[in-house]
Amino acid sequence: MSPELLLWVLARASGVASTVALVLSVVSGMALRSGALGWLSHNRAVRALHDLTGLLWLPLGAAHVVALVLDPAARIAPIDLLVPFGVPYGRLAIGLGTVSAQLLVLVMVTGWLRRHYAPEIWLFIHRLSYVAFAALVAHVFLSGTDFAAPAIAALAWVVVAGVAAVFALRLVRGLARNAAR
Amino acid sequence: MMLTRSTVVVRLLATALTVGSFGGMTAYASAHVQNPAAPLQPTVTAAAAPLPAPRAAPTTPPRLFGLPAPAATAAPRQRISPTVPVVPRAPLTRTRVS
Repeated sequence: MSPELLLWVLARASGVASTVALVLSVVSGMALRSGALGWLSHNRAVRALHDLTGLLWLPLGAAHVVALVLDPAARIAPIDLLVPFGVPYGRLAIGLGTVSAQLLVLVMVTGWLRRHYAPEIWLFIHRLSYVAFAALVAHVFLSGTDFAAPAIAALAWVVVAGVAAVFALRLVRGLARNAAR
Repeated sequence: MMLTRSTVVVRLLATALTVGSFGGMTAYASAHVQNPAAPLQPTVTAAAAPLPAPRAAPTTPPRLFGLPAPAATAAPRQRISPTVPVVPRAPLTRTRVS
């Protein structure tokens, strides 16, 4: 296999695996408050899952980005990692991936520095992960080579529906908790 | 009822799912380099244009052992068959972005 093809395969595999880790991270994060993963384990284990997957996605996401920057066929420059929507093709699809990655890095770094922030500010930034995840899902379906394959697309839609269900549960229980106060 | 009470098991499950998807997708992407249904397709350029019909075999006589080659074999390829353009072989095309 040529180095260019190797980069291409690495970009696709790391992109999908990074998405899997982020799905687990988002679901476990929402489950901490909603109890949606009560069937799996207790809250301490769900918290451990959230912390772990919040780290797991990073090397995979970095591999995805680096492989695409190094792959000459992808025509993605380092500046495109900082300035979204600048790639000459698939502007929206790829730009959403850039926005998602930037927001997720922001959420992760502020998570590490949590004690330096006021709780309201930290919570506001942490909730940007929902925006980042929505951008990621759009990026995946608008540009994902493998998500266009019927079997993988079907699996992905099932996962997205599951995440949406957990989100709805989190929203309803959060509103009920606020109403009870 | 809980599936497990162990934090380690939960972590292992998540790691296995992530690493497994990486391995599985590596195998899948290696076997399916191109996906014609992918939303982003490579731009068709002159270099990546479809190959022309195969050219006819050269009409020059075979080289004679021990004798200098006929002048016709040293002539440029265009002179042998001027109506068939010489097009470089198209590189392997594939989808650009995952």
